[in-house]
Amino acid sequence: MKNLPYILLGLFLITFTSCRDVVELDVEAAEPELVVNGMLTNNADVYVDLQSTAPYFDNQGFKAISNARVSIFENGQEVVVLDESNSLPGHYEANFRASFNKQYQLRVEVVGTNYPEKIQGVWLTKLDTLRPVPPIDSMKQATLNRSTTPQAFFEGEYALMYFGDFPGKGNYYRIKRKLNDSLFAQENIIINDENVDGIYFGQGLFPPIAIYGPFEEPEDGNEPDSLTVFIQSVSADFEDYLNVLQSQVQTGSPFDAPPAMVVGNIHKEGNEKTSAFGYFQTVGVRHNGLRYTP
Amino acid sequence: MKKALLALFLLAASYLKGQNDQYTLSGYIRDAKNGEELIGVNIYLPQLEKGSSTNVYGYYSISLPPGRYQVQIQYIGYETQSQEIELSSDLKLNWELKESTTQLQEVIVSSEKIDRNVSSIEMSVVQVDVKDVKKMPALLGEVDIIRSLTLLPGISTVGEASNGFNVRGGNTDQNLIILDEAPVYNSSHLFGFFSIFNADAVKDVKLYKGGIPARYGGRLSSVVDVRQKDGNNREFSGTGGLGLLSSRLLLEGPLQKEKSAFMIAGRRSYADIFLGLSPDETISQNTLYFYDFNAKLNYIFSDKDRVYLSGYFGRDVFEINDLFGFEWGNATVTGRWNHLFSDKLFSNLSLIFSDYTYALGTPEDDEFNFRLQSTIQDYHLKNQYTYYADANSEFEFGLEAIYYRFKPGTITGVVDLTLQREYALEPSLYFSHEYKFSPLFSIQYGVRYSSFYNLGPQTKNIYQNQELPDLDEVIERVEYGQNDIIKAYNGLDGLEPRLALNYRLDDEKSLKASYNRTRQYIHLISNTTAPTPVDLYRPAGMHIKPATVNQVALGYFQNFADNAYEFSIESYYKDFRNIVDYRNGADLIFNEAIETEIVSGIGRSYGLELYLRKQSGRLSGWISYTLSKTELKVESTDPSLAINAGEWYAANYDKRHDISVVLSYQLSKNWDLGMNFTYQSGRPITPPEGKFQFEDFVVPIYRNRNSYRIPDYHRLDLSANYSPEKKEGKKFYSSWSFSLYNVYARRNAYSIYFEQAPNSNGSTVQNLNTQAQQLSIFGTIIPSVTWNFNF
Repeated sequence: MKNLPYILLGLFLITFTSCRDVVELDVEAAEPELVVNGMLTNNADVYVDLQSTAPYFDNQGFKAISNARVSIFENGQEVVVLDESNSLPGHYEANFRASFNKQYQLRVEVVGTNYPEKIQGVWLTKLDTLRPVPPIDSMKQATLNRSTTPQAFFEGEYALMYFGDFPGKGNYYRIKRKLNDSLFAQENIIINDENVDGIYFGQGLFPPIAIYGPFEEPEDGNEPDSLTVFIQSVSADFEDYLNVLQSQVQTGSPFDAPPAMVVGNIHKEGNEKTSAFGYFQTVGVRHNGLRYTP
Repeated sequence: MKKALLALFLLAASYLKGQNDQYTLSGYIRDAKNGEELIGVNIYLPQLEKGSSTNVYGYYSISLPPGRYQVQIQYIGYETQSQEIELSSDLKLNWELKESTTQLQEVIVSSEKIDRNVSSIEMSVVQVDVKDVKKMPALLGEVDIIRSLTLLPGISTVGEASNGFNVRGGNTDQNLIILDEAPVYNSSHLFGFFSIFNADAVKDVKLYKGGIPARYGGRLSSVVDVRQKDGNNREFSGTGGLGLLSSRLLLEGPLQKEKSAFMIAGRRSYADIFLGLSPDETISQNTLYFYDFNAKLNYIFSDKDRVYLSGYFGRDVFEINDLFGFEWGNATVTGRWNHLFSDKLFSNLSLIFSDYTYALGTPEDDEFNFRLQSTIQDYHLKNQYTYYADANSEFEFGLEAIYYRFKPGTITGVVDLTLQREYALEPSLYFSHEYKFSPLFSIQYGVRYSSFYNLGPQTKNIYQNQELPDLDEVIERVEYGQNDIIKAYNGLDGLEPRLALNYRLDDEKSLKASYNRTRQYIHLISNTTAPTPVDLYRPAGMHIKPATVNQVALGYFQNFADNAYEFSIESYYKDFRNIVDYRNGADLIFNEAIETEIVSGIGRSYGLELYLRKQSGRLSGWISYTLSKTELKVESTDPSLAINAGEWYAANYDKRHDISVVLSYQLSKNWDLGMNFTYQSGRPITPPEGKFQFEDFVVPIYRNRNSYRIPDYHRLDLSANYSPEKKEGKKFYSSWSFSLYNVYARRNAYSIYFEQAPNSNGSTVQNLNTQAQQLSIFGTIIPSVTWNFNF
């Protein structure tokens, strides 16, 4: 909905004589800063990626931050220290999974004069809880069109997802989808239970969610597509973060949101106003899948 | 303050009594051709060096000692009239002016004394003559009054496709745009490409950017007073045109000769017809058009009473592939009654209704149809009086009450949802007095008192911190019944003093100064850099405060060569309070707790405006230059809500230099040529100072808002108008207008986007490279031709 005016303007402009040119701006790049990304879940090993920020017009890739001490605290106790991967510098991992309803915190310590002063030091995330996540009870295939389902703009075979929201408002579920081996690019679907608290999708008045479709017919000799859907239980803070991030991925048109800094959940120890970029996610995850039957 | 007010009222009162040794010369001044009352015509008495001018209804009144006087009636574009009168009792004298037929010869009338630029107390006012605007180069042949206003000092736009305009550092929602006194909430068609005013139906346009008279209120930065034609009360006639973008037709005529007239006008664009011709289905199946209607009726009961009924209805419609539709537009209705209590006391009573609605959704016959509609409506009652005490003294006073209904969102279709409606009342009173101490010094002082009541029924959230509402901190919900006062703004803050001074250095030079305070109780809440049709006004209330501005302006005005040239230099300073901005990531569409998405700040703007105009002769036109700076500041106790760490930053529409040259040249009897050139400093944008990766998103890092400027904007437009000689006895007449927009095909930057580069063909892996793209709305020259006719 937020992008609507832009879409409308865009379509209108296409019909005019507008033109686009790739330009380079003479903008002074700021000193590199720390970027922390990672995920702690119930069903996969924890990982953390440490990088530095880059000048906007520099497309050489992001520099890894190596030799940091990265550890996870569970209910206030340090429980695991992550090891840096040999093949992927800046990628830290450990054979550790989180338990539901426990509190977690990430600690990152960057030492050594190799890195600018802005990056050095001890960084902490806000405390976060691993929220339980409802299962995707089943996935089914069905023929849909616009008269059966509003989202089904094109008639065809769709994947349906059956699941129920936990009672009590304030649940946010992030959906990620994988077709065959590829995750959908820049996927940012959030189901907010504000208006559907405790609802089961696929029962009574509420139809199952048409999560993908229409499937494409397999080419000769190829296997039909296989879809995997992940449901993640995320915090309200993270939902906010994704909303702001989504509004900032493209900016500049007068119809876009004005630029704003996208600040995550990592700050310097003892100084909450100094933030690192990125987000360390503590999310409950479940998944289910379906292979298309032509 | 109280003492000062008392003194002013005493001064005023002393002029209201005992003027028995004077008689009143009064009447209406009309266009001889069609009986239209003319606005702002000069009535001048050279012996006394005194004068007056007609009001917006064409009425004038001047009281003088008995005697024999020469009276001159002067109006630009019309032949000057002169008559000797014997004033031994009150005298009613109506005048009819003839348009000056040719501008081919240098028209020099020795008695010409059209020196309003120097003599009038008004400053910071711009006026465009619709006839001049029609000769100017036009984008796609659409004569655009608002676009022509932006060529005058102090008025600018963010770009071609942006709704609204900015006046002296004010945001687009700070302009009170009134069409026959009815406020128009969105003055643009097609996302800002064209204005909603059909030039054929417009009689007069006046824009106040400072020294705003006390009779106007409700917006901070400007008043654009647009008056529709009353209709030809002599004979039936029509005007129209066929252009590349739209066609238009206006019909007018008497219902009862000299007593009553009508005017109706319509316009419809047909870009959608061209879209249909496109071989590309994604374009050809879309619909995009606008239309508007203007209508007016008036009836003269007697010399003392006259009524007008006028209206406007316009819509923009956009449909994508029969899947999704979007429409928006204004509707206004104005009923007015002019009454003369005496020759000296003119009154007007207006009843006004205005509505702005946008709606979007799927077609109604769709199985899962939905429609979201959002509306603001207001009902006005205005009662205004002008008392012409004597040749030196004029009083204005009156009252106004506006009742607002805000319907922020209603969803209908398979689901029905409605956001709470909001109601408000804005009553105000005003008084002002213009007094000429001597032919050299005049003053206009006045005050407007406005108040605002946010009314029930509504259920309001009470937050732990009412100054900084947060949805997670709702401590209770309070229910208000019908017409319960939720929040009243009725203190001394509602006093809006207005002051204007004119000191004439000599016949051709004057110094002027003005001060005004204005207050605005409704805010356009938008989370985009420029407003879009889906932005809606919301009222001040429990959590949103009214905004105010104080403005001082100083000016030097000079005319040359018998008033053939006008020159002015003005400077201003404005101080804004409680300007509303939205919080980062704010979701404003269909949001009930809008107060949790906004912050408020302050602003300041200052500038210097130069203006040189030549009014007569083969070559006419103007040069204008504006040097200005506009900054905003948003501080907050919560650092994440402060913008630029609470420091001053340039407003989105801040443009340091703005130059316009507008020329018109009468080449021969049949041909005239026009030229516009405009140059503006690039507007500020926020450049990314770096980037970081999150999943497969590459996110720009923005720290200093608006710290970079897009390249400067400049453009040249040319026009040629062919007007063949009128054939004797033939009523139908037609002419041609040719325009070239953006003659040297400059790719002016409209904006610069920062985005992830697109994926290479077939790749499903997100490209992590980033780039900046400059968008130019018009990358080429846009020619157009329009055929105009009248009968």
